[in-house]
Amino acid sequence: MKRGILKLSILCILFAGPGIAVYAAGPYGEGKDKIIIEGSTTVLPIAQAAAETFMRQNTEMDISVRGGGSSVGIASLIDKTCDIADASRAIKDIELEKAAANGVSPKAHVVAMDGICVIVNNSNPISALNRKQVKDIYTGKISNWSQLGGSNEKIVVISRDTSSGTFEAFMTLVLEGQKVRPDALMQASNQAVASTVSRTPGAIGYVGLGYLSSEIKALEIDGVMPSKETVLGGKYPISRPLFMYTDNTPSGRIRDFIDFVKSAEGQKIVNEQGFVALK
Amino acid sequence: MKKFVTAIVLVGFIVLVAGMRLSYAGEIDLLLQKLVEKGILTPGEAQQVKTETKEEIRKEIAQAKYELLPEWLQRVKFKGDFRLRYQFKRERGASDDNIGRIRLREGVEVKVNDQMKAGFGLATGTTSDPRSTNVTFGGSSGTPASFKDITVDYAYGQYSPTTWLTFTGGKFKNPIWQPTDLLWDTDLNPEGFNAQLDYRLNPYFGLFLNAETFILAYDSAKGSDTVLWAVQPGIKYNLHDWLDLRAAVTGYFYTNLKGKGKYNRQSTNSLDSANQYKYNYNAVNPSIEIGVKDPFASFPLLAKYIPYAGLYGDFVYNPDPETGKSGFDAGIKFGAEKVGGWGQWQARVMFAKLGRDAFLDIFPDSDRYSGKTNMKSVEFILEYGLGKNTSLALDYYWAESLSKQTSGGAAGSNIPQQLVQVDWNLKW
Repeated sequence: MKRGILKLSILCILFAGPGIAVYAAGPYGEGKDKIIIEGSTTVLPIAQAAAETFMRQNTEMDISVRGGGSSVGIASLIDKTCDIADASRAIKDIELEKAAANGVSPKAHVVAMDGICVIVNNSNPISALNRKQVKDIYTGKISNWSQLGGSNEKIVVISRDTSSGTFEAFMTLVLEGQKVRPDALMQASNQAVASTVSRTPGAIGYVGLGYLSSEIKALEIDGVMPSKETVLGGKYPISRPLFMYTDNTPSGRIRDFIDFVKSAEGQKIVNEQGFVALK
Repeated sequence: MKKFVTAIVLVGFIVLVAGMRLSYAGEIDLLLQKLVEKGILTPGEAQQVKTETKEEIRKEIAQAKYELLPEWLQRVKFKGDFRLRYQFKRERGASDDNIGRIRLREGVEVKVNDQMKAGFGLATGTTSDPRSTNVTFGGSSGTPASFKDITVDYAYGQYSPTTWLTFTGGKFKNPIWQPTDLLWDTDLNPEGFNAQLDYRLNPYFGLFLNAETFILAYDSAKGSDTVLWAVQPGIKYNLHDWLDLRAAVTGYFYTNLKGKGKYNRQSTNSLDSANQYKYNYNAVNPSIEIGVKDPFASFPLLAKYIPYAGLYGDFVYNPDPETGKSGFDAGIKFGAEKVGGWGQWQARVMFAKLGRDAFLDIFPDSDRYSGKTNMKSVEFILEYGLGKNTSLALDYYWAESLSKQTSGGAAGSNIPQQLVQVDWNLKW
């Protein structure tokens, strides 16, 4: 029995030691000038660049930015372990219900628009496709331009690598979750996709709106040409808003940061990162 | 900025008048379009107001729906699962065994107040086997299609004074973290108390600590219960979303075990002349798991099919016995990090070896060599997603005793066993 009590005491000391230490230190993020941002890898470059500029201007600020995906960010906001959740999609109804059950009221802030342009080589006579045709090309159902009224030339499919936010958006908005054909050439950047398409006569690819140039031809999709106006007006079909979510209408430093991202200076960063600015 | 604020006030007024109903969304669009045409808003600002307003309305509807639920239902969460299994077992010296099995589990968790929870779960199974919630088709001898027993799987109370500290008492899911089920069958729910600290030092690094008291046997006659005390300090590390690492060292300490105890054991631990446990099972058990997202990012074809890969392992050492005092396992998994939908898959391969007295033989996975110690095994699992919350899994074990049989027809040989399980899993 004595040995039992001794072991229980050792157990209590082992447990109490670190417990007291971390209690004295206080939980992470409670510091008055700390902000934790977590979520979408698509929004990550905007959040990182904005946080860097904001911290340069406000040296007392400490902003931690990490990815993990929209679902992870929203789950953390609901669990109250982050201050801002980055999301490349709107919060789901089930997440809203979980948030309500946890006493969290997610407030959406649209910080940018994401517009993805389907591009071909300048020599390609095709100038318009619909989303179904693009999907069929990328899933392998259509493999020659002649099937779309073009020349008898094999389609060379160029895609972004699976870890990119652009790939994720294209999967959701065009492929509806279906897999890209296995022989697609995967490129690590928007610039690499544009460059490969410009050099390859039968190629098709997709890039962010900011990467269009005279070297490549953007296609009309479902009758709408991609442009800042058609993306912002919600007319171009391969576009989506990008969000930062906070618990309720933010106050203090969190509000200052959200206001900064929405400001002209913040929207300049959005442009620089290849997304469509709201201003 | 002033024009933007005016527009938000105007739209807010419309939403208010509209009674937060989505049917008025079209009117908001028209108003925003007019404001853009008159140059009061830019198209981007209009898009921002439109989307944020729509999201605000969705939130209001979700909150209203939630608030319409009875107060008690708002505090209750239900979860459950059903598993249909086909199992084939082949063992030297025994007949081949083909059986069909089901498992049903249903659990409830109630938020008592902001700091306290209570939960309980019911499951199929028998009170005599804490390591299995399966019931076998035709298992009741002489009674075809008999009713199946439902038992209390777990029942606990929980107190969390902060977000990072939780105390649990009752019969509960084992909080000791293990990357595999080599030492702890996942169906086994300890009875006793646990204190858990889970503290995030920064977005990348966290500490956790479990301190558990597991009452193995109540002994009123001698006033000396058999108790397992376990302490598990560990770390969690996440590097830039592509690397996840978790590592821990668990110490197990028993009181009143050596020279006592004849539990529902598998007859592999060593016994003394009085047929009681010959050794103590105080042991140390380091564990590690490393997961990498997009491990083949540089190889597009592989990257497409293998978005995740992980390595994991355990080691256990009991200093008391002279032989058979250690065990280990090591494995890899790859495919989807979690099988969550149609077409997603994950494969796992694991090698394990567990000495006769390395760990108490009432705890290990009951499927691996019938839950015995003194064995080595290879396990292969392939899980394939059939849709949301449902999957098909194939689990194959090859195992063999470490020591040779001393009598009977197979004397001088190890005793191999093969087990194949095909599971259809449904969760809700």
